[in-house]
Amino acid sequence: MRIGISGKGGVGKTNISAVLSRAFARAGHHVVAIDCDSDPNLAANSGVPEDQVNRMRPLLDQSGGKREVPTLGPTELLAGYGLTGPDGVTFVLGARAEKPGGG
Amino acid sequence: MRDIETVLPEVVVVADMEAGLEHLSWAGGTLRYADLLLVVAEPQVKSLLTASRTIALARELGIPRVALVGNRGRDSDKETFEAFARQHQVELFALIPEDQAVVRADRVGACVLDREPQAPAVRAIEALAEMIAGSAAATASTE
Repeated sequence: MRIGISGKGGVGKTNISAVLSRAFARAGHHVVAIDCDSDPNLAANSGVPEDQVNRMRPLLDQSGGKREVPTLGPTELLAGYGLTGPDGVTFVLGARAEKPGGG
Repeated sequence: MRDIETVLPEVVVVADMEAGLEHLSWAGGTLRYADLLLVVAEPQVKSLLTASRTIALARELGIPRVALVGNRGRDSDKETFEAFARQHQVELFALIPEDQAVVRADRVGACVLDREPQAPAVRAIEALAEMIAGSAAATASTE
């Protein structure tokens, strides 16, 4: 099942996503939590330690000045970009804005 | 997002979207593969306006199920959320109370589930998870 969480900025999406993900995991589900915000903090909000959060590799690589999303199968995606956090939730980072761009 | 289920059939994917509506617009459309969209709103006019636009876009995208989650509400806000849900013909899946435990956890950069697992907001989100899992199971059994 794929669940999207949407809403205006500051309404509490990330906190709800964090607790919801871990609640599903505690109930025995495999959970993949994807942070689709370019200013990401889902993993940190879910209790992943800061040093691990900082080492996460975003799917959208902007380091070379280009914006490239790798074409990967789901297994490679989870193995290469997933981080296992509290309650066994796998966290994936969509993008992280690291430099100002020309659009 | 769509392919993850091919390797993990029982997986639950939770996608925390960027604020606003870009992920629902035709250009982005990141969410078009979602089975369920939870639209989070506070009991304020601006937040509910975003919610109503979100619901309209989600319908255009063809997301099969769209539900409202009322956040940071007081008892007196229940009616506001219920009326909004009726007006927009969406289910009201949860009412998460305004809860200082969330603020306290945020202040120290922790998950409220670790800091104050008994907090009312945590309980409400846990109930939401149970409700979603239950409704998915019910849907699956009728298919």
